[in-house]
Amino acid sequence: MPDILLRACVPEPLLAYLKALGTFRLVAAQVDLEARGWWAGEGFVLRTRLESIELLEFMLNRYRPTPIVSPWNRHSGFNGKGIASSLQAVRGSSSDRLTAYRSAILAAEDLIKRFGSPSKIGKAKKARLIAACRAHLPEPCIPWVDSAWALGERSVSAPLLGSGGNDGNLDFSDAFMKRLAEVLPDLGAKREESLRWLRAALLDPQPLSLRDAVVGQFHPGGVGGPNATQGFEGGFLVNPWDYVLGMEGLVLFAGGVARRLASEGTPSTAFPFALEPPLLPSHAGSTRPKKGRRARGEFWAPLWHRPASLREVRQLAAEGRVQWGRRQSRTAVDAYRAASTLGVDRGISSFQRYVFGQLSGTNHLAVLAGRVPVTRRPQAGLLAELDWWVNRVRTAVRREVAPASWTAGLGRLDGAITTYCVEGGRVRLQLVLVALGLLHRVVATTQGRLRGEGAVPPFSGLSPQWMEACDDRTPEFRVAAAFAASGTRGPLGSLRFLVEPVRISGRTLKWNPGQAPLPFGTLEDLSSLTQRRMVQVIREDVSTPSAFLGFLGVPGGVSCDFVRDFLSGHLDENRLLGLLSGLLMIRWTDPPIPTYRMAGAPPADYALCALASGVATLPDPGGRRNLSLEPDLELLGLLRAGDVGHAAARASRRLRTIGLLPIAWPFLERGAEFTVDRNRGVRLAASLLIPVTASHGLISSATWRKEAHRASANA
Amino acid sequence: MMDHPPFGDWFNRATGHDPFPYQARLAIEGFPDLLRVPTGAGKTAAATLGWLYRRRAHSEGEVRRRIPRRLVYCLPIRSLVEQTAGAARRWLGRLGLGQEVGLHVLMGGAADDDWVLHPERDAILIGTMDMLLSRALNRGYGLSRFQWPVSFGLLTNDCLWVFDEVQLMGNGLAASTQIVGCLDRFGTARPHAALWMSATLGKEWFHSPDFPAPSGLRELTDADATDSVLGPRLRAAKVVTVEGRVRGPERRASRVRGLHEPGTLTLVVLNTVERARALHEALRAGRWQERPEVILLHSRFRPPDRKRIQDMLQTPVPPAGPGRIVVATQVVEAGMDISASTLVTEVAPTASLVQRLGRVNRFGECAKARVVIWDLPDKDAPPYPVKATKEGKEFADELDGGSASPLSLAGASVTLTEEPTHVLRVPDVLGLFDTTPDISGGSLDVSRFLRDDRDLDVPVCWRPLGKTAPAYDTNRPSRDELCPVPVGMLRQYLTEKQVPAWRFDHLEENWVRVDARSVQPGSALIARAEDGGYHPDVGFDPSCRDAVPPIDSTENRPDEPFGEAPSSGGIWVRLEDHLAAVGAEVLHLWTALEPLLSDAERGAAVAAGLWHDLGKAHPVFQNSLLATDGPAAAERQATLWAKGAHQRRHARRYFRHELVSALSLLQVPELLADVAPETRDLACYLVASHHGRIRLAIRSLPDEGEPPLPYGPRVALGVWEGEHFGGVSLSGRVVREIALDLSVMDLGLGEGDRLSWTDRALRLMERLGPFRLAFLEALVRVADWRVSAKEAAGA
Repeated sequence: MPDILLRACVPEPLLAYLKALGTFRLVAAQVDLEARGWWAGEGFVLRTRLESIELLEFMLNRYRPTPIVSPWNRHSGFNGKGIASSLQAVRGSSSDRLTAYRSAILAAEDLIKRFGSPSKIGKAKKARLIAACRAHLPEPCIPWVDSAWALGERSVSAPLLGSGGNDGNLDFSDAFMKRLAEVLPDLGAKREESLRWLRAALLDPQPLSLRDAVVGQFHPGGVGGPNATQGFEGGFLVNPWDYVLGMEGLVLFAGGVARRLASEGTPSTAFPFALEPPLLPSHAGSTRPKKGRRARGEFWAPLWHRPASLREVRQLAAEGRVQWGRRQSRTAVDAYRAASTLGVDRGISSFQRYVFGQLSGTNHLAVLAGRVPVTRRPQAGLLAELDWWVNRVRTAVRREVAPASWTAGLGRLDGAITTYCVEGGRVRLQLVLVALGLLHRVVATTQGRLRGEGAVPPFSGLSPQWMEACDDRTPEFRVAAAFAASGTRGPLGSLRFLVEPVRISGRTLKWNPGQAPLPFGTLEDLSSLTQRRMVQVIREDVSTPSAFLGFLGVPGGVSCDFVRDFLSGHLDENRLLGLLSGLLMIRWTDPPIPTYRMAGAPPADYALCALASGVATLPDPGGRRNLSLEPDLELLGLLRAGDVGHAAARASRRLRTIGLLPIAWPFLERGAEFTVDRNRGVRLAASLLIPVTASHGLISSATWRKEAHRASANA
Repeated sequence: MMDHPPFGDWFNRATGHDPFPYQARLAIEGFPDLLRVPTGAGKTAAATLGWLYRRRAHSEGEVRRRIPRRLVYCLPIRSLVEQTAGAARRWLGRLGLGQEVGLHVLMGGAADDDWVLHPERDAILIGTMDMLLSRALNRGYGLSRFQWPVSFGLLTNDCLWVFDEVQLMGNGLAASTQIVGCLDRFGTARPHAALWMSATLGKEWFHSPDFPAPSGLRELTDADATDSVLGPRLRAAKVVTVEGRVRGPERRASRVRGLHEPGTLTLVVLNTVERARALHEALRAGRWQERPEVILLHSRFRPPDRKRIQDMLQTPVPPAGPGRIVVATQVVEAGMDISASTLVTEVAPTASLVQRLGRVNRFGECAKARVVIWDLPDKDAPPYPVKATKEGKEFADELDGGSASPLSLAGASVTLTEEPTHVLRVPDVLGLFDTTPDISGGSLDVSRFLRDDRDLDVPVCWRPLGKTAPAYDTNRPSRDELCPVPVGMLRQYLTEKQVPAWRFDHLEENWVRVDARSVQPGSALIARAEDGGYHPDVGFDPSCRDAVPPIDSTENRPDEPFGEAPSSGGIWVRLEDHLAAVGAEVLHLWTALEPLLSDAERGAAVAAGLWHDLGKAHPVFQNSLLATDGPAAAERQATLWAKGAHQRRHARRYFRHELVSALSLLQVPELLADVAPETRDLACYLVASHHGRIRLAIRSLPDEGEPPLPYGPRVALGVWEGEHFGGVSLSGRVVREIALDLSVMDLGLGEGDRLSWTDRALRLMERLGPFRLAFLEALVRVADWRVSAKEAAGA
């Protein structure tokens, strides 16, 4: 028989998603154990031995509703004073299909007799009542209780079900029974009308005369968005079958209490695919975010394209449980990563991402926030490199011993990681890198202020694979990468040791309390790094001055085109500097130092200054050994002051002393070629840190050699 | 055990005295569900020897066969375990069964799990409730996730569970009935049975959602009451007086002084540690003509200190001396083998009072035993609910002025002090079968079903640290060093005395200082011995300033309590030989155990043994074995090996050979030609699960990267989709070459309507039930371990 396409069961809104799973669950659990279901382009497909007409007949006449009762809620009908009419209707019915429901109601009433009316008992007693419900209600109720609560050392209400099966005054169980009364002939519903609704709910989405009803958070269209003119009580139109089947689907997502290791740590509550937002910077300074309008979390509804059995879907929900209710950023960030991984393992094509929040008044809404495609995850391992260090920071933040700036930095990093997990891509990964760099700077600057024990060590660094994974081929990235590689091959090491108070002790990094962290938020800062480097080279008498670039004859560096872009000021310098702070975290131990093909000639002023500052080694005219000039602090000073003209003149004079004749040197030395341009000067000063690919390119573009000149004269 | 002696003689041989009539009845007629026998009437012997007799010496072979092989004796507190194990060891020794019948003790910090290696042997397992029930729920405490299923399979099959002192089980009581209910409902591969016993229990305690009303409550009969030894014990009288409230430690101390008779034991039982400690201090400070020995006993001691005190209590009181006064809390209610002449107790719930009364004139040795019960105002009722204490008061009032004996108390209606807060339900039991971690790396937790969540203790250890904080590599506290302290009291102590304490932070892998607010129940703390706070004779005591003497403890929890013999046993074993040996061992175990399963299932289990390590033929595994140099290396290349002398880490991270084995069996079904088609999935499952890592789902690890091209896109446990495997001949069969297909990981039907791995595994669980399936898993794994052990021993 053909598969039945449930055209009205689409992945959005959430109610329709749940409705599809509800229909599937009921068919597979009550009539056809071998039924299978999956998501297709136009809706949910059901493979069952039932024909579509039989499916409708089953739902209308035979389906046995899950006994959904919430005796712990004030508005659930169990308030002790007169029983709500919907509950009364189910309780008073003699229909066979409601037998389980009736016994659940009776059992719940027994519990109410023992514990007292839910509107009268206090918080502690309510918690005991909920536990007693799980302990004593008939077995068919357990999935419902578990969907509403996870009962560990404290009860935590499920993200999908408001606050324990109610949302404000709306009690989901009461609403469920009301809707049942509208669709089940056994409870007095009109058969014809119910069938029409049912057909519309499953097969044939078409406008109908619907019922005024409150459906809660699963159908934002139905409840009105944040700009809805009416309050919640205004009433909205809904197909009662949508609600009934949606609730039947919801019980697939039962929570539980889990722990990571059997003997260590405390157990925590967990719900399937419920992701808590990580601690965001807006909550900086307090571990407990303010109540009120905020996203409580997300629900990632899995979509799959292969015919799955109900048992498989149940197992998927169990594997998809995520710690919930602790607001631990660590788990939240991990969860984003792990949810994608599970999706990959199970062949999930994508997740529908619903964000929950108290967006309108006090009521919760589930808003579709897009689809998370499940893709391969070549970079998952990269993120793992951060874990140990970030967790140290996190612990300090959690224990409230760290300065408030850490919380903000950490929040930014968590945000970047979650965004990357959801959206992917090199640019998103770069943002992780940037956030890491910023956080590390904050930590490096203020770690001395950490109160108590448990200091955070410097981050040991990222693997060079990060370079490749982040490279989006933009000049900003490549210039930043070139800066970051500066010095790494030479005896002075990475710029990181200059800007951050870190030192190497054995094989590990330690803080170096004697050293003050240097700022490098601006190009000025960068140019002052050049100066520091030169001083280092002079003071430590490094034999090859070009060592401060890590040049040392290793092919590597950056294309002169990029240098030109940099000097021209066309690059997004904030981005460049941000990337640089992150790229400094890369361990260049065994790295492919970024090599980019050189094309075009370097700007002449740059070439002059670079040659005259010892950036490049120069061939000795005598051919005995390579010459290189001492770094020239005065030249650098001129550049930093923006006096490019005088700097060029000085460079020219220096080059002539070793036998290189800059092009048009007499003009240069008279200061005729260049004017004062502060920005260009600073950029030129900074650019001296960039390792360039090959010195002869510089030479050929700025000078001709004396000997060559002579040779041609002789000829 | 080839003779079938009459029970009386046999029992006498074990214990040195004749059985009481009810004990004989149990052994000969069989066990009821419930047994209510007063303290001192020999419950332990009745259950233990009753089982042993029926299992080994009963004249009817059918009876012996039906009795489970293992007696699982489950006790709510640790001190009872040691005592019971001591008695069992004595009895086995006297019967000459010390070698034949295993005796294993399972307590936190000292769990002997070797019994799993001998599932065919008769064995007595004695342990604490949390250790045993967690194992029966597939979450064995102190075991790794991968070892859970083995003890789960073997504790739910072929076991007679005896739950003793049920009044102290808390939530565990409901867990025990629910587990037994599930065993009945889902079926087991070997018989199972259960017995709950205590001096105080009510039939209604055992109502739980999935446990039918218990069949039969066995009590003493007239024959017992007239027994020449038991009779006097049962009729041993004590005069009960109910007094008003006696307030303040001084007034209480002077009252106790007045009641104490020199040369005898006076037992004072108070409901809270604080009151007990105050009275103890007042008694020691008070004036005496001749000071009796005053001993304090409660739960807030380090285990060795507590053991020392308990040993002290076991020494007889010299009749000529000033006597002994023991001030205790409710810890004396179970397992304390003492018999006082005078008991002073605060009013308590009925069950507690009955137990306390059982500590007086136990053997009828004392002519004028006395009991004084002090009333309490409602505000002092905690830790008991006011209602329960009120009922206790009514019970006491009935006794007032009269004489109470075990016989007269036997019929007392006893209500359970506290209803269980969390009850294990059927969906939990089914959910617990899975051990695959969820997205957060967690698996369902059982602790709330086993202990009361009202019990909020923090274990604290005192170490001499001087003025410093514990160093990074400071050892974690061992069990012996830890004293349980209620969380509220500890917070108050830390705040008021301004002393530091540290806990181990797993994220930081370092000790971090805790402040009073952040103290959490359950996670162990280290305090400085120099700051005081504990005295070996008084227990946790905030006012104590002396440095705490350290406990010299070398006890360390073993990381791998059993099994999982590493492949590098130091010897070379050919893959063919290992596979054949494990197949044979599975068959051997099957024959010995006679599971109530079909021949088809036997075929699947044996085939699983024969193919479980097929994946070791994978080059990644072989290379790890053969990577060493040496003259023999080249020669070895020609053979496939199961074990090698020096196994190195696999070149491919996370590589699991059993996944390759299982995938190959799915793709080369002809290897399972001898197995009935309907049980082939069972064989695959047993192969995949033989290290406990792949069960209901195949999951990759979070940091497994992409496989190199052209493999993939799927990857799991170091196995790349599309890589070639096979082309080898093993055990006379050719394993043809295949491209490994990981699409079975996906949700839903694959090509050609092929079922997914999870679907197959869950179908198995539905068909066999969780307990039978776990039994089969255990069988194959135990066979593998045993063969590996033999191979290593043969080296």
